[in-house]
Amino acid sequence: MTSSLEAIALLAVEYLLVLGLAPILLGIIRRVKARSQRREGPSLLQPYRDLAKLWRKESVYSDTSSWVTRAAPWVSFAALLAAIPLVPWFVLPTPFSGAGDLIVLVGLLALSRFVIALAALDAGSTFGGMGSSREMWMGSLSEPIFLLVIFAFGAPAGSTQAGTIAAHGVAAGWGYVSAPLLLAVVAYVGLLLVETGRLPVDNPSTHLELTMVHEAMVLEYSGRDLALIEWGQGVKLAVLTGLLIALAVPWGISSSLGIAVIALALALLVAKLAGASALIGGLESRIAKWRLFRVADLTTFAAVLALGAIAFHYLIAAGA
Amino acid sequence: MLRATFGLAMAGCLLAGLQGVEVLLGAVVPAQAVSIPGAVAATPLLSLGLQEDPLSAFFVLVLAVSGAAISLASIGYVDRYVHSREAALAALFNLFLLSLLLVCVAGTVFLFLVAWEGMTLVSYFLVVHEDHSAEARSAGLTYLVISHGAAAAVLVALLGLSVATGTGQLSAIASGAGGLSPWVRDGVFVAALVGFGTKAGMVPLHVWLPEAHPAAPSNVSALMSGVMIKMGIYGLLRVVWVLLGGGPSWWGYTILLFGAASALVGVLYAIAQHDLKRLLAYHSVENIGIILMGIGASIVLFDLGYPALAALAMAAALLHTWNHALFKSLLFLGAGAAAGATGTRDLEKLGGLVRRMPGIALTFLLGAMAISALPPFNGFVSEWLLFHSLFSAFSTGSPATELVFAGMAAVLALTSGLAAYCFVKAFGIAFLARPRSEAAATAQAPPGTLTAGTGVLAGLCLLLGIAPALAINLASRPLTQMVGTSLGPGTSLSLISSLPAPSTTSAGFAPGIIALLLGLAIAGIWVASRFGVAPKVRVERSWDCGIDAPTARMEYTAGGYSQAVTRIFQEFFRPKEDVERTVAAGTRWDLLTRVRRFSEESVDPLLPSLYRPIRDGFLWSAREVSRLQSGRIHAYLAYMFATLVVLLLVLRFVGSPSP
Repeated sequence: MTSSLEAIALLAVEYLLVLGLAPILLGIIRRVKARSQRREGPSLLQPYRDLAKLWRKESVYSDTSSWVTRAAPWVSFAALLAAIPLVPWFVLPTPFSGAGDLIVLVGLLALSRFVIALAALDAGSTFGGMGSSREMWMGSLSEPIFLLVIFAFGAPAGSTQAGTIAAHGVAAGWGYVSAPLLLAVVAYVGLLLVETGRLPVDNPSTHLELTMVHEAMVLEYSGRDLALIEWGQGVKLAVLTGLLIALAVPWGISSSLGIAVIALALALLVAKLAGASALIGGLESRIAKWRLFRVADLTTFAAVLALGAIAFHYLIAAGA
Repeated sequence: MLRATFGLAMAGCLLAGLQGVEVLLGAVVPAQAVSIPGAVAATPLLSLGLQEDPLSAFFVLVLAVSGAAISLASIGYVDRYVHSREAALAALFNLFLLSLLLVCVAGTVFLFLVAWEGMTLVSYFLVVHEDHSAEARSAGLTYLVISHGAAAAVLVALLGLSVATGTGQLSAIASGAGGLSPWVRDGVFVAALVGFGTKAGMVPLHVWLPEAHPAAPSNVSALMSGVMIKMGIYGLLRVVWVLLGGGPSWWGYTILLFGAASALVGVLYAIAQHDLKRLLAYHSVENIGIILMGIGASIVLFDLGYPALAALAMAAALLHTWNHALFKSLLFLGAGAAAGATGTRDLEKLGGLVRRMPGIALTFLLGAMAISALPPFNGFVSEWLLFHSLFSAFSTGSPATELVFAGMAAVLALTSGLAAYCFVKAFGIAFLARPRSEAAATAQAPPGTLTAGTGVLAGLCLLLGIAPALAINLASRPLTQMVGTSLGPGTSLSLISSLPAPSTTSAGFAPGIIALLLGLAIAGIWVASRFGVAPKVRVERSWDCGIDAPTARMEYTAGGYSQAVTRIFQEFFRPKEDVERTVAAGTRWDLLTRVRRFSEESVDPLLPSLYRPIRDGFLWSAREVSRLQSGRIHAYLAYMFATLVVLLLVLRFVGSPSP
């Protein structure tokens, strides 16, 4: 058991780590995509420079917008910040693990999406409405998959708490790897692409009217608000990737508080996050953007996989 | 005058609520069937009496809190937006509250049925209050007819129980119902599910609800959607849990499946609606579905021998009942303010109201977030409990239950995701951006008491979202009354205490800590934004691709917004599209087709496919029966004589009643 002082210190490290690493994950993805297109690509640190630039720039608001536009980036970013302690990053048991389980995480991501989707309607431009409608539509399709994936990962461990599931995985060692787990991981990757708006669902680097989803929503934002939103995208990517790592390859998370063990766990975590981002970048380079309504096919596919994972688990459990 | 009437209603609600809290906290011993002096009839079936046991008290509290806030809002609402027979409306409103209260505290079958019928009749007159509109009259008729079909089923269930146990006292039935044969119990269950399910708005018996709720004045809609449909839930819990003491698994699965269907059908139809109040009415169907899922899960888990898990599912149902009463009352009052000030409920004609009525906009937004199950609001807490009780099926070791429950959890998640989609549309189109009509552009600010009423409800939504232990404590005695156990330790009245989890799972959720984290994060962003030179802020026109003057016609419409969902579920909606096309001269290319007019309408397919055969059957049998009506008096005398003979023969051969 960790003392509350230690818990607060660990929490601070988690926040520094996630907030600090979030932009570079985006940088890695862009770099991998650029290299696969035989381009040099921007520096890995470019997202940091972009954020710093936006932080200094003036904010322009639409004259039809209200306090909703002003408040939304703050609430959205705050919801993502509140989600960070719910993911086991490098130490178990997770500090403040009683705060919430994965269902709470789903709720916080929904809150973050909800307020931005509202703000997108606030300026009264067609782009905003289009992006908002599409984003909420995808969100409503991804939520059931998220729940099924939580059930699939959670059933063997008997918990919806990410920390407990990861601890179960660490304890089980190789025995943790099973057919249901693999199915659940594939379903989760589909979910990750939808939730973070990567290809083939949404292209984060497009500004073509008919294809943008997330970019259309935040078209009216500028300055510090835009910096918060872009940083938030990075944090969301980090949270969802970190969760994938904790659920699928939890080995390496430290179970004690020794300096050396923690340092090793941190190094492993950074390597895993970088590797996962590179994989996402590689995946993105190989898929073209799908037309919008094919997203429903992807989510249906992921839902079937997740249900299959749950069914397999129970059949194996019943047969054993 | 209005002030006095609604003030009295509010005071009455607050008193009833206090009494309810006393019973729930165990401060007073619940009175068992206090008989009304002088009204006790000779036969036990006709006796009148009141009782307030914990289950009654919980629903009295639900009624009292929403009722008080709605009464407060009604002062300004009726004064400003109702232009005919205000006194009649106010009197009926109070009578409606009284009948709702009587349903909750009726201690005998007879009084329950009288109160039930009174509730239906009074609300019928409230639905047709604006009887100059044909829509309201037709909605009222639909409501009256379907409600009476349901009342017949309720009558069968309760009188059946009463006859089988030989008593009219609800408390006596409960002790006598254990020895009934399974056939009688199943029959009573089916009748109760049909009767109470109709009142609650369960699919496919919901068709009256989206007609009747929007037609009534908005304060009445708030009371109907917030409280009256909960009486269906109360009746179902009373019969299934208190009188019959739970039942076999298939009861639970039946309720669970009907609940899931209601949740999904409700939210999908809500998305297709452009009428703000109809949209809210369909969301009531959705939320009743969520409550029913909790009840169904609790019956299944109890039957499998897991009372602690059953208590968790039932706690989700009870909490969601209260939560829905709070945010749905709030949303209907907000919709009433918007519709009253602009004269229209059509989303395509609203817009920009956030500037005309900022208080209503803020409270409506909070209510929308609560109903969309977003933390840190109360809707999320009850859905979290429900997700958890569904997840906990993994420990029952029954693969069928586990798979069904996992599927139900996916349905619940899809429902809450679609609800969020729908409420971004509802709030965004009605309250944000530019006004879409002259009426919306010139809307007057609503009266202060209306905003105050919604403010109270919004505050409660947030309070119960941050400190749900308050509500769980109050639900603890009803839980014990029904499933024999409550949620156990962890339900202390602390603001940041975790929600209790059954011992089989180690998950936790401390809503207070999540709210604290959110607050700290916002404070942190604020502190960060103080650093450095604050950048300039400029206000400009929205980006419109260079067109010089963006207008409201360029905004996204409610129809356009919901198109993404109506399209992938088009098999389900079967929308009627009406496109009038003009092809540009000298070409056959579809690309050059100019769509002149496009209208889309989605009708509830259950209305024609389920109810039309019933209606046609009735009309047919009425026609056939009318052949008997010859108009000659000796024919009627012959009928009477024949009936008498048949009844005597029935008595002779079927068995004589024991004295």
